[in-house]
Amino acid sequence: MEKFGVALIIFTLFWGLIGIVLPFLIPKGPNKRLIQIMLILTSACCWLFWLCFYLHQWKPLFGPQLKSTEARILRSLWGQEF
Amino acid sequence: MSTIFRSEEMTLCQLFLQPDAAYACISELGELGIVQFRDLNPNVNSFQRKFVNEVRRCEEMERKLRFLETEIKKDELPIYDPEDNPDAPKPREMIDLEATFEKLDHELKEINTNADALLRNFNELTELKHNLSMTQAFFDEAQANPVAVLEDVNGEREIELGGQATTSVGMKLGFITGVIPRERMVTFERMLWRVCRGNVFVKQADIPDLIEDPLTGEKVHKTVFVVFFQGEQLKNRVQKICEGFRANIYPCPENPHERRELAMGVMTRLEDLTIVLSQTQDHRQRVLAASSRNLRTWQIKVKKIKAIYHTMNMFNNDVARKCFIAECWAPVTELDRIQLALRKGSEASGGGTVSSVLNRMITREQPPTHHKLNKFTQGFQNLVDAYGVATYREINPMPFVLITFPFLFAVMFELINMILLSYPTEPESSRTFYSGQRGIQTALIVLAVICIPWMLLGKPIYRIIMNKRRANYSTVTNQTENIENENNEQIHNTEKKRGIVLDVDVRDTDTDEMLDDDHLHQQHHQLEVDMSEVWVEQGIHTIEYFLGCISHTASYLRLWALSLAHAQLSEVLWHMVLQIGLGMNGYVGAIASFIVFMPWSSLTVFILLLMEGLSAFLHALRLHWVEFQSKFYKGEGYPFVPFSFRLLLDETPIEG
Repeated sequence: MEKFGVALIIFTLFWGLIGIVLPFLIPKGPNKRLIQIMLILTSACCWLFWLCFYLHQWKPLFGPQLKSTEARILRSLWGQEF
Repeated sequence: MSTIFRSEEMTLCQLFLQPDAAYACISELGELGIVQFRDLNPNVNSFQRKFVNEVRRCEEMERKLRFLETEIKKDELPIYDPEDNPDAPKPREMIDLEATFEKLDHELKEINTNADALLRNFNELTELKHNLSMTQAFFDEAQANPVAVLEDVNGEREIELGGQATTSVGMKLGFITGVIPRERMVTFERMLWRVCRGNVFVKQADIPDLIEDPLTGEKVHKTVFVVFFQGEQLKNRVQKICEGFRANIYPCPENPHERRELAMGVMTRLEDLTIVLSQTQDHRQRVLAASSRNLRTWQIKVKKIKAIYHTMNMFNNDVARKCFIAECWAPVTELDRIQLALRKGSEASGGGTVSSVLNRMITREQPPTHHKLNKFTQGFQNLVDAYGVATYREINPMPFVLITFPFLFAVMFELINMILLSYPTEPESSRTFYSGQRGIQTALIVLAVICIPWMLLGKPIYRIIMNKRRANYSTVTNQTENIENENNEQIHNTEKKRGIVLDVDVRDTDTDEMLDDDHLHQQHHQLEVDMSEVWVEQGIHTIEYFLGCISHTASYLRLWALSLAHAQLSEVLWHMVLQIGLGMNGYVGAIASFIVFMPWSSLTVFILLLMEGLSAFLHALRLHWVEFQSKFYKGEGYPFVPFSFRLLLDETPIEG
């Protein structure tokens, strides 16, 4: 549970750094606004993307799909519990 | 610096140009490339415009240059590109250019006609040479065994006629020699046979080399023929047939001495002609090489002159004040540079006179939309503009499209490869996926519901407030002005209080600029609309938006669909193709992998990369145009197309 929270915080901080803090540090120039928008949008898209996949793997809708042959192999390798 | 969010501020300017300085000023503005001129003479026929003669002269020059270019290309000479951008030449230089082109044109045409005549002569002489050498063979044969020949003749006649053989020993036969294309020889003979009723005798010999036909210039196989006949009538008939078949008849003297002399004469003439021909070709090459160095520069210069005169045709010639009046759209931030260019132009054309004047005009017309772009943003701007050019000062979706388009493209192309997909075993909708989900769901629904009154009421309320403010301002100023117009004013005021004044020029309402009283009264585009219409319009928009929310959200499922398709395709290719190769062991496996790699890679490239790539591009674009831009983007503007030499030269590429 903590690992979930820790990872969440780290990645959010990472993309937050790129998307919220970095835009203030862009030097003046003809493309300043453009670069700021690009940073914000990119970090928003990537963070959201990562979040979707992370949450999906945290509470998956379904597990890995095994074919019957593969299931039998696993059972023979890992014992009867599987 | 928020210029990427919307169009640059544009202003309508009036330029007053002195006639002497006008050309130079326009040239400078063309180099600068930031003004768009308006046509002040739209009803004037292009043949009645002021500078129609100059334009005609330019077109004549262009025609000559085109001719020059084709000649250079015919000889496959390289054409040099100019390193620097040549300036538009002054009007005086135009006359020099015209003279140069005329001289070159004339010279080249002369060389060409001479060369053609020489070549024709050369070819005729070549045919004559072959003719003489071949017929030499016949006559030698005839000298050697005259009886045999005559018997031969008799024999043929005997065979054909099947009748009495009449001896023609000692009888003089007339003959005609000539050259004819090989394909026509058979029909020629047959025609001769029929027309002359078998009373002629034909001998032929093929010329082994390909020779150039004097008339067509093509290289064909030809045959030398000799036609022997008796009598004047037959001679005429044979001549007519030769003319009909376009065989070239060459006179051949009977006397062997004369023949030899003629042959030698032909040889010497041929040698002379070869020398003259090569000299002519050299001269032509020299002329063309010299002009190929300057060709591109000339073409650019002529294009610039023509563009300047086309622009000057759009001006208004004010005879009273003896100046040209021009109207143009220009970005507000560039006005200084434009002033500088005008000053440069005035100085270049001999200052001292009054310099050209730039005057800003205030207008209600919609200016063109101008975005400041670089090579990177230009591409994405084109994607947005294909849907519609942004209305003036409307928000430009391009900065957002810059990121979201590649992002969505990537989603469709790659991502669900990470997750093995197939249908879930038991979809229990009552299960919550994560705690707090119910809360979030309710919050989203509440947000969507709030949108409805927000959209429905927002615009009308905003407009009511704006118009109240404007009405208060104008009533105050009206009361302090003309008392004569009191009646009009009262009508004006009551009308304003009843209805809503909708201004077509959105800019003023949004930026809340207080309009000049004069301009308020001078507005032509002011509309008075009932409140009910505004309500109806807003109602329609709200319903559209609400329905759109649902449909657009569902539309994003195509991201999943496309990535699924992509994943399945790559899986298929993997299982069906590559795995076969990689699955086998040992040397056989290695060879099999090698063989299998080709179809796998070509299928991968064509299906996965090209087809899926195209599909992902298309759907990402559709998501932007429909689901994103239709929500807010009107796109009713027109693009800013400045008068720029650089644009002009780029769009009509002068290729080598």
